[in-house]
Amino acid sequence: MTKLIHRARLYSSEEAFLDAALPFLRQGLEAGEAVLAVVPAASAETLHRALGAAAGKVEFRDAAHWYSQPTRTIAAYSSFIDDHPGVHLRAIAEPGWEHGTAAEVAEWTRYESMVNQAFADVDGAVLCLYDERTTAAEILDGALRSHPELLGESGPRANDAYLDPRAVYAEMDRQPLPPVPPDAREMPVDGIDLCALRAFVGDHAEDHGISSARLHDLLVATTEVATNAIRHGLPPVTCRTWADEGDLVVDVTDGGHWQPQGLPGFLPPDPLVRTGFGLWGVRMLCPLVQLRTGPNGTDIRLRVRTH
Amino acid sequence: MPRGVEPMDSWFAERSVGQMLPGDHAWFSYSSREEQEQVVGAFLRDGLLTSDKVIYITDADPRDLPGLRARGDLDADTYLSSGQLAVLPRAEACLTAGVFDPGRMVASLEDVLARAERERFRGVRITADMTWAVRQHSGQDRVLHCEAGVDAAIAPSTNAMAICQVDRRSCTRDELTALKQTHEVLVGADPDFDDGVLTITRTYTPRGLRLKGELDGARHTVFAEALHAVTVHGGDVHLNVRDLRFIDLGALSMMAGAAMQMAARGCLILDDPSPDLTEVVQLVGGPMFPWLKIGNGEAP
Repeated sequence: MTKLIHRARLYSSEEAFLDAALPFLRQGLEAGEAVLAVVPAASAETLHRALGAAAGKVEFRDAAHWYSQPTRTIAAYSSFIDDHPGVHLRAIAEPGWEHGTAAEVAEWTRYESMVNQAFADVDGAVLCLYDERTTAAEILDGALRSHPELLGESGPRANDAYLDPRAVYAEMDRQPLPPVPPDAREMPVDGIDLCALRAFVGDHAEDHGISSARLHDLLVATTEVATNAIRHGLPPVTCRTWADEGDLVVDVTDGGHWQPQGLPGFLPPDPLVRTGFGLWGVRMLCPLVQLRTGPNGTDIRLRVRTH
Repeated sequence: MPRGVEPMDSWFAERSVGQMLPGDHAWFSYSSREEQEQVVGAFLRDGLLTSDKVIYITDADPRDLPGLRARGDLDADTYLSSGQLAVLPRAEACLTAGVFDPGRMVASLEDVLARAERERFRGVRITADMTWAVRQHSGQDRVLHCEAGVDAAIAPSTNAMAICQVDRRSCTRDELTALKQTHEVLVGADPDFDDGVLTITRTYTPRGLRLKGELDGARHTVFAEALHAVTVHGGDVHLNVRDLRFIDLGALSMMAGAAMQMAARGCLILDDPSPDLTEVVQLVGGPMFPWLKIGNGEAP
């Protein structure tokens, strides 16, 4: 039985935003719960004004940072949960995503869906707020499929459009990755010694003016994915890299059929066993990680912004 | 001068003992017999095995010298009788009325260098532990004076190299700094592992490993062995990663595992990580690295 309440409110005026957020927050404060507000800076100001002195008891976090990439978001919520043991938790969350590529929208929808599974046993309530005026239709559509409850003018109700998280993941993973462009650079990876692979990715990345810190993260992520392909996949292992609409893409394929179960690499690993640390680390370092397994093998695609 | 701050003009070449070159007049301060064995032992053994003349100024029994005492494979007597190894007692080399005499030391040095040349040795290796001389009355000044003479004899040489040893535990920080300044070369242990991509070297002050180059899955096994050897006895262990350009998540996970196993017995401290590496550690660090600390290379 799921304990977590995960509810969405699609609003289209500041008044509607406050009508949804204020009672929700006040109820939590009155009940002595741990109350979190992850919202963009403008909404934080609106809430501060409306709550007055009570705002001091709400833990505010900037959505721009908190929602930078799904795995970091899950890690941030996990720490908040760990920091408040035995207390009922309450959060309002306004991710502030307005637009994204198809792949980004899919991964954020996957994220909202995972919340239901990953935090099912958390004694708490999350109210997610989406501004209908500024948010792209496909993001709103994702929100409708991933929240078991909706908050409307007349209060909360069960959401008929809600899909079981596994159905959402399956739908995401059915979408084939865009084909590798013909001008992609390619390198066979035939041993565990990956210095040459890092030089190959590094040279290409530098041609696209990537910052040193991002390049370092990308090299750590690429090395991890290639190491896994060599150790656990099947040959041939191939790395390809190309630029795509301001992103640098690194794609590692192997001949194996890796079909990880559960939420591979999305949840922080248990420090005592550290199983799954690698893929989780890759997802922490890389804003977009796509994993597909088909008849031709396993394909892991990493994307980073070049600017 | 504040503690730990070197004068701006100090300049040293740091070399492992196996990389020493003719003309090197090197400084080596040790804090354990094991550390002395690693460096001075290698200096002696490399010399004896490559047919260099080896001269040790000491009152110790030749069989108890670094490089000869631990392993039984090189026989001191054989090398002594062939003349390849010379052990000069202090009284003969550098004492006048029981007091360290820099002039006599330099004269002895010039004498043995000339003799080695006549004997047609390919190279000459000279070492002495100067700790006792520093500890004598006004010893520091005498040793400093001597070092200038030694430098004049060794530095221009095309076949001689020398290591001046001092037991760090018996000297003050100021004494160590002053003595170190008279050398251009600092010598340390040879790496335990070096394949051209990664080098792993034991360090003794602070205790730990220096990692250089790139560490990834191809080198996890050697890293695991080195990490185990240095963490198994407990106490704080420092991993100096200043010159580590790359480390993969697997190796970071191994560090976290070692740090957790050490837990109550000591900390694992990552010294001088690059900003990029620091960022990675902090990012994946939440659940993984509560035991792993970031440091600046200074022993506490």
